[in-house]
Amino acid sequence: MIEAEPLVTVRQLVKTYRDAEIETQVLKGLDLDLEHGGFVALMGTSGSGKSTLLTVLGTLLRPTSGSIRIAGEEIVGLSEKDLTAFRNRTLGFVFQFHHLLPDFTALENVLFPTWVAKRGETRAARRYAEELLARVGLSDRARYRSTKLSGGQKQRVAMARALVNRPQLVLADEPTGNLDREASMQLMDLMREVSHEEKTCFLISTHDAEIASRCDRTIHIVDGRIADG
Amino acid sequence: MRRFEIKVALRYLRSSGLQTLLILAGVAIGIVAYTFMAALINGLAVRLTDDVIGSIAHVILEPRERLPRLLDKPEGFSALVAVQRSNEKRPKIEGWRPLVERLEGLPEITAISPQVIGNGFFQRGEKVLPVGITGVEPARLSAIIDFEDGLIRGSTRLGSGDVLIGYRLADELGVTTGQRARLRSERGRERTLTVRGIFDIGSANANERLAFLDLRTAQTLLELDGAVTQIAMKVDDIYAAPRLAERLAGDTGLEAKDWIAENERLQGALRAQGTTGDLIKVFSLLTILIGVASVLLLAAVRRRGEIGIMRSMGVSQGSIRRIFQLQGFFIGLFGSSLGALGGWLFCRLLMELTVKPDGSTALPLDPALGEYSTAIAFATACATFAAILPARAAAKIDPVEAIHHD
Ligand SMILES: Nc1ncnc2c1ncn2[C@@H]1O[C@H](COP(=O)(O)OP(=O)(O)O)[C@@H](O)[C@H]1O
Ligand SMILES: [Mg+2]
Repeated sequence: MIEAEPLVTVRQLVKTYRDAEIETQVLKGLDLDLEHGGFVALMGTSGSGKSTLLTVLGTLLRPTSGSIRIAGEEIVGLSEKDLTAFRNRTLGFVFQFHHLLPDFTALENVLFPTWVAKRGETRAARRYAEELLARVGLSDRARYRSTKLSGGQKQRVAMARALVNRPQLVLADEPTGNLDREASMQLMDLMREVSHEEKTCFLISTHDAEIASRCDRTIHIVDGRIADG
Repeated sequence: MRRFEIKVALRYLRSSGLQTLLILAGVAIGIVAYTFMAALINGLAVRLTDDVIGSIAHVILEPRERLPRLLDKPEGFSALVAVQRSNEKRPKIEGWRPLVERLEGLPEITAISPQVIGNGFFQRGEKVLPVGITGVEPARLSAIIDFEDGLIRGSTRLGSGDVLIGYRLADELGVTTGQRARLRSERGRERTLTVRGIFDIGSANANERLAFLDLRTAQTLLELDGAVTQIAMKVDDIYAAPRLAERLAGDTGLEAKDWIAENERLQGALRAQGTTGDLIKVFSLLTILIGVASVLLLAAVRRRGEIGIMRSMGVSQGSIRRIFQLQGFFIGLFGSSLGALGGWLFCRLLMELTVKPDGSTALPLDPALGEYSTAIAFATACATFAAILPARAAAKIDPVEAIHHD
């Protein structure tokens, strides 16, 4: 791995939504670098484009123009098939809603990305998944149906799941948006620990300054661009 | 196909408990109808066929009809002629004994009976009734028709001057066993015969219009000089009869008729029944198709959010498609297997309920003929096919919209 190159390099990123006649340009030539293992807060007012940026970085949404390099790979212009594999290999997601797959247990949810991966669930993957569940304090809930967990517990399982394939970048879109203060802080602390230990880069969107203050770096999205470094 | 796709499909079915149970029940009921219909139609066909073939010959060898030869017609003229059969004497098979011996050596022929066939009138008192005369070798009397089973009165031992008649003819003539009646043949020969036995063999025509005589007596009455007019046979595989008939015709130079060609009406009825059954089967498969499609379409909508999450984890559109496709397949397979079992039980139950005191059943159902594996194969194919549309819809769900706008 060439340490000189940042994990994420975004240049002149434009995203325009076209809904029938109306065009909304949300990202307007955005530039952004994220280092390996960074723990970064993404702040901005509601509607500023935080979710849009995260989904574009997450390869779920194609940008209108611009360039995105993640882990040494230019992802703009990759085929749907390559993007799907890239997502499974390199990225982890934590969303505000839709935490878990309701028909599976907590452990199965954490294991799910390993099932999807080419080599499938290995013994090592299973051990790691159990370790991650222990780490988020939910070993005793491993065999619970995910619907039986509280909001904070679900989000911790979702975080373990985002990490199970040892991704280089975790994208978290307002992960604490539905949690109370205590659960929010607990989740933030966990993510920070993991980020530092596993050298995993986290990009966490929030409109909450206290949440952002738990991060090593905070960037602001204003008028479709990053307003600071 | 990936293992997790099967796992997710099965889990989805298991966890949508009531919905899954309902659609499985729907598929199962469709297949109960399918297999019941098959058991009924096939059972009916077997019963009708059995009734018919039980008392008829499967293949009959006859002399070729000798038609008057036409004189060569002049070029460019078409011939317009009516052919009148000779009614002088029946065409006959001479030297039939070696032929019968040869036929007896063929393994596919199970019974054989050289016969003479002709017409005549019974006279008794004022009454004159037309009858069909059949002369058979006494030893082979029951080769084609089971007289032992059909005998009501008297005996089946046919001696010279004896006759077996149906109970309706006996009633009309007003005779019973041991009594006599005068028979006048189409050749004008007459003889007084003793009624040796009276039968009921199920066919109204036979019971009313046929008289069975010893071969020699019949030959004399019909002036056949030791010849026979036909050789009737039964075969082991009744559906192979046409092929055998063709072969025998080629080998012997005689005309060979098979029971299938001679029973066009039965064949027509069986075909009509089969078509009705097929229609009902198609409808039951259609309901399965529609049921599975609607259930899975709803499931695709209900699971939008989860589909979005799975896509974010790197699950491909193809995998999502196969997860839904597999649900259709499993619903079809499990539902129809249940249905096949249910159909079989239903047939057995109906037979138990309608069993007559003598142990036979009133319904022509045959549970063994329910076409169970065909039903399962068709239903599974249908359910899998029905899943195509929902599977496509599920694969097309935009993960971003599914995740954010809900
Ligand atoms: N699918 C879409 N079609 C049209 N406009 C959209 C769509 N998604 C988001 N937007 C618009 O883009 C802007 C940014 O939205 P979003 O990225 O969700 O902001 P944030 O997450 O910061 O609240 C908003 O004005 C929103 O209305
Ligand atoms: Mg948002």
